[in-house]
Amino acid sequence: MRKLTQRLRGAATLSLLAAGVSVPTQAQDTLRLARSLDSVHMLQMATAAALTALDGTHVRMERLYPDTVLMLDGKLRLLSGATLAPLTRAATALADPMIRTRAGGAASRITGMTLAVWEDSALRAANALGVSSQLGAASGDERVILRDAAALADEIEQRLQHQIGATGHPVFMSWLSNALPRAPAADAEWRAIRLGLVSSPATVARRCHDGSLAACRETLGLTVSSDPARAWFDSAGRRAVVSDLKGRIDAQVPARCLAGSDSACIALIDGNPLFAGSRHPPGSFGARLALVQVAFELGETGSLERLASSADTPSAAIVAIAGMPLDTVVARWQRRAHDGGISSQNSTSVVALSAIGWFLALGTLATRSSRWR
Amino acid sequence: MWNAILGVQWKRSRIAALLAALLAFSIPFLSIQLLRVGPEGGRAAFMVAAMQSMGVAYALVAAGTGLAYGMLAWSADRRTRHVYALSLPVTRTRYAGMRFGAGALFLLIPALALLVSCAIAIAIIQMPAGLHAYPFSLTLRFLLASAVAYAIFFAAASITPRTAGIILGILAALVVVSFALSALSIRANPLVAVLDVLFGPAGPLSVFTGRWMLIDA
Repeated sequence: MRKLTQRLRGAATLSLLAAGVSVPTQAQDTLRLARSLDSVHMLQMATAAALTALDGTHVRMERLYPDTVLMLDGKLRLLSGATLAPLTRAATALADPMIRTRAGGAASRITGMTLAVWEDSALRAANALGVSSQLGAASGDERVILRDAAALADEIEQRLQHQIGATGHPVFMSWLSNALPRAPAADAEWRAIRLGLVSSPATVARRCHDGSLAACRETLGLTVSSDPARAWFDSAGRRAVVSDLKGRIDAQVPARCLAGSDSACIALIDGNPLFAGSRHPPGSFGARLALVQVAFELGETGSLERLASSADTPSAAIVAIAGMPLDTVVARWQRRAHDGGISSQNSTSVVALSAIGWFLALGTLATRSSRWR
Repeated sequence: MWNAILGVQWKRSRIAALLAALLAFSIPFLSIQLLRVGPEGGRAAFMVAAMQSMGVAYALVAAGTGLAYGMLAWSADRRTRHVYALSLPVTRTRYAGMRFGAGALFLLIPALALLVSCAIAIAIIQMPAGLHAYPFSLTLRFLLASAVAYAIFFAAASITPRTAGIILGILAALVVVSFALSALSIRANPLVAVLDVLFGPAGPLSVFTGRWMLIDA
């Protein structure tokens, strides 16, 4: 094994020399120079990745290369170039406490996970870096993020949460249709959720906004209705649903409904494939994400550990994350959806103070003018 | 002397003040006119979208008001070649300060018109549950935006031709340098950087950016 490691190192050195020779001598050809430097850098990273994989899978040596950063007691290895190693260390320091708090004992589920943190000249110019499970874009899970410790910490947290919490929960993750959240929903998201609820033609969404927890469970798709056309809409709502699609379908199809026949509207919503969307719960995916965010807020410590051992249904997963009954979580979500982020977006205090400051500054400047002196 | 300057300022800018008040008064009514053609469902979302689409009108009227007031503030002095001002026993600083204050005071007229109009518009329409009206914050923003625009144009009108030449020269240089850098495929663009500062959170034009919403979720 030691011989193999030495060979890999020899190959890396030769590759670096070969790439170095191919570097153009014309300094003005910056694009070619950047590409050559990229290839040198990628070769170096590829060799280091091969060495790390070799150590991780075969030798289990405790040796750590200077550009490899360990997290969660070595369960996650982050491979970065020498220039990105300090930033990667800073990011792991930010991500580590959050993951330990949420994951608890479930952190042991992570074994031999490796992430490559890399950059090339194009990413460097855009102040960005790439993160993937393997080096470069070929891995298929490459993400380009801001070249910033907080952004990298977010990415690490997201991948670790997915590894711990999402694995084994395909139904819950399909219901969520988002990555597991790391931070609470912002005011703007609550405003969007409120607008979605009160704008919905489904009365069930408006009843949810008004405080009915049963309606909220249906709106969020936590309980399934066998007869959505009747249970979720009143006759005006059904007509509005059909009316919204009238320009996009044959005029004959909605004619009876729009003429006032409620049974025709019900038949359309129940059976016509064009109205399949109306048979889905009216709450948006943003609303579902906010519910999970509330659940994480309520049960932060050990939330991922509980999720990892919960049943694979949305309700069970939310109860597990929050460590509380479903209605407690839904009630908290409903209050936020009703009252969250109610404030004028017309001006922030920073903008108002800045405007006053500029008004006074420009006025003072004008009085100093020497126009008729 | 303050009363005299106030009187002259009113004479010069009353047409602009009344026009600005009329325009500001009409925007909330135009917003609610848009709601007449809304869909059957999703009325709340449509109402917010309609308010958002009219946001640019508030910014334009505020900027136009500031421009008109700023240029008209000096028109009396310019017509008489500053003879009246030079004959007064006050410093230039005090005189210009009073001119600035008198013009700024009349900015309250369109702002008050907007506040009254917003209040009437809110009383007329039936607001869906979950939406909220923000007449005061919208009016305050309108007042601040028109005040900043007024200060910019008042300062621009008060500078000497030499200073104006220097400022225009700097602007032209910025455009030329940005064009040259772009032609050389160099990413750095000083014009973009300047615009970022002007429209950034602490920039003088930040009050014009973002959403101007009479009704929002």
